[in-house]
Amino acid sequence: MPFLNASSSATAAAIARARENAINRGSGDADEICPVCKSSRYLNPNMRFLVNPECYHKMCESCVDRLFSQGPSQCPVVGCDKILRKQKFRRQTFEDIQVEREVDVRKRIAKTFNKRQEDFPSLNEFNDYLEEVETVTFNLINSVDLSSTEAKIVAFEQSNKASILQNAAKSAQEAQFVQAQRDFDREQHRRARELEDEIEAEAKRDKIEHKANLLKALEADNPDAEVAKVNKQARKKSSMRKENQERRARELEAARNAPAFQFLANLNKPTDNEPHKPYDPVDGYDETNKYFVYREKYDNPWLDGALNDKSMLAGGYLVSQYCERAIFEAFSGIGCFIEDPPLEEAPFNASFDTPMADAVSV
Amino acid sequence: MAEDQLYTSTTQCKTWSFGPSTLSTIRQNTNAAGTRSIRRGWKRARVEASSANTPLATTPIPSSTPTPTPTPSIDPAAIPDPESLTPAEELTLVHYYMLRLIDMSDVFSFPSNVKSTACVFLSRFHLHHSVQAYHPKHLITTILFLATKTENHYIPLSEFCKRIPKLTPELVLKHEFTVAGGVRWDFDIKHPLRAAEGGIMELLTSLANGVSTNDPGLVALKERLAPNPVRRVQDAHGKMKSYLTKEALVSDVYYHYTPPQIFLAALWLADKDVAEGYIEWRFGENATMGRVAKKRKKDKKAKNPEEETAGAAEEAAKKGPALAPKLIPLVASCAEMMTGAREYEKIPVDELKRIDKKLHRCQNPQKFLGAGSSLGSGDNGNKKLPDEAVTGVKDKDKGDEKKRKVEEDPFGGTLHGRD
Repeated sequence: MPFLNASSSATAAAIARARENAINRGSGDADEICPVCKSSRYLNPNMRFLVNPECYHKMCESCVDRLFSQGPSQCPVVGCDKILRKQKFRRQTFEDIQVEREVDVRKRIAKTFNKRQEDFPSLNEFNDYLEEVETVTFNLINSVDLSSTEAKIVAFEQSNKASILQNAAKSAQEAQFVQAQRDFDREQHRRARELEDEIEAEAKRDKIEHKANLLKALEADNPDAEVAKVNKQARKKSSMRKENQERRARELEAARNAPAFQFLANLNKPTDNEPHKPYDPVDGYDETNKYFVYREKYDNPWLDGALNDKSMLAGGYLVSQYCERAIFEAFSGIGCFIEDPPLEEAPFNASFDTPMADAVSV
Repeated sequence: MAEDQLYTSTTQCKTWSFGPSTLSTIRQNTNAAGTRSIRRGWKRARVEASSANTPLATTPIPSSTPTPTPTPSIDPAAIPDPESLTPAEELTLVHYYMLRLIDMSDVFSFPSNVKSTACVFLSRFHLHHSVQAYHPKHLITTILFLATKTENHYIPLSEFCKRIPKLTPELVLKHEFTVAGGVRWDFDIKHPLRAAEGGIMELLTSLANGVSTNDPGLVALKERLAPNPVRRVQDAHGKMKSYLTKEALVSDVYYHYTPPQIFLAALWLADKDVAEGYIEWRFGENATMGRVAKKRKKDKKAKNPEEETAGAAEEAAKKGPALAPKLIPLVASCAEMMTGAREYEKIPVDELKRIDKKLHRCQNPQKFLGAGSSLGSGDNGNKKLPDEAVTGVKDKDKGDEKKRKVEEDPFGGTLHGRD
């Protein structure tokens, strides 16, 4: 019994230590076991797990060294016949291997399908494109129709080689531009801060100096005259300093407005070719009526009662508004001629009625 | 362009306007879907019936069932599938119930916009939902009540139910969601009613306020309607209203024409001269579109004749070609379609009974296959009020009870046994 007790307490201590280790390292389970060599983290606290994006089977670093140092070889996991290379092994970023895989797939898809909104005539078409891309991504992640999806991707890649490259270059350029802008801003901030610090230090120095001078002046024969002299000097100095500061601030401002790097001015800015139009809150809606001009007064004996009926008017009813609306409706749509669509268009999407019509009869 | 632009942005124009061939295609598709569901129902019932007829599973048929149950010796497989309704028969039935809806609305003396909305709801609902799947008789009270709500003509539900015998609030609300979804939540319907009022108002005002020499179209119209143009328009107005609240509803004009066109067609039926004269005045070659005052000002400004002609040409280009040559045949065809609605009033009762009988057979396979308790809740064979037939509450047999439970459960019953 005592023996057992001792061993169990020793184990508990070891587990606690291992757990602590694990926490310190910030990695997951303390009793993690390499699925290939079965060595556990408990025995080897420095064990690191690696995955290969070919098959995402996890194994420890030493297994990777052991198996793949000689060159590409088959994955040691039973039933996996992928050939893996050592250099492709990397640390897992996400705890969930599915997430890891999805992120990889998305990265890959994003590289190929890098069309932009301006490549499409309208937002709708761009959205259709995004949906199709998402379908492809979904298929890859969930292994649906793998072969046909891959074929699709390859076909797209082949036919859009030029535009993919172009768009990639564009994105790189944009990223560069953003980065340069950010660096420039940071530099400007630093300089402004330095200037401020300098000003503060100078002011402090002047103050101390002024104090010392005052004391000296008070020690002199006629303190009043000396003090006045010192004060005058200090004022002169401070106004000079201020002027100096203002000049430097102006310089800084000018530097901020000028491009810091020559190439920034030469960069193709991500512009849309269309010049900005003035904002139109009603989106081109025209107030003027095409078919009629509204008159001030219409003969309608039926409405005469309402004109003077307090119970109607109290609620805010306006006869003129009714008239305007009625006249408007008399012509709203008169120039629309409803016709059959051309034959090639589907007449109506029939999928709408099927589920409802197939429901249990009432 | 404001007027047409506004109409083209409505759901009525975008989702509920079709050319004639599109409309008939949709109706055929809907009919086919309904027929498919009938076939499925019969297939299911046949399986149930054959299993019920085996000696091991003899379920006693409750004596309370009023259905004429055939003897169990009949082989369910031997009974052929029922003949399904044709699109034309479905349409006949829908139009018949539209007329009933109009009658019912008159009982309540609802305003014409409620009446019209209710009819349009019924028509639109059955455009995408076959009569074979949803019998209109179960829906008309719901639709009428929904129309009072969407047209802002409030009536308490209890009051509403009091006026129709054997109607309960539950029955009205039961199908409300189905109907609302069936009209695609498009509750705002552009009726020609207010358009008609506006048009007549403008016409009367123009006629009464003396003829301005600037507007030859108006002079011509006045001559055409002599001796008493105002009186004539007023007469036509009265007649037109009745066309708008019946013929316009019980036909397909709401799908094929816009509200002003329907209004003109109704005016055409009421008095052809008024309608034609009005169109020629407003949309003819020299129509001023009511811009009399503005034009005169322009004429004064333009001093030399060259400038004047240029101005006129510019105005003409802005106006586009005259609408009248296109509008007159269109309105005439719309009027013709509206007169076709009268045929639906003349349909003999025997014909309607025949269709309903056919429908009854389609919807209640259990009764004709002898599957024991009737699972279909509708009891169309007995000439009960439409509203009562939906209840099924009175029947205490297990099947009905079970179905009711399933329907009452907000999340639906178990998936098992519901196809």
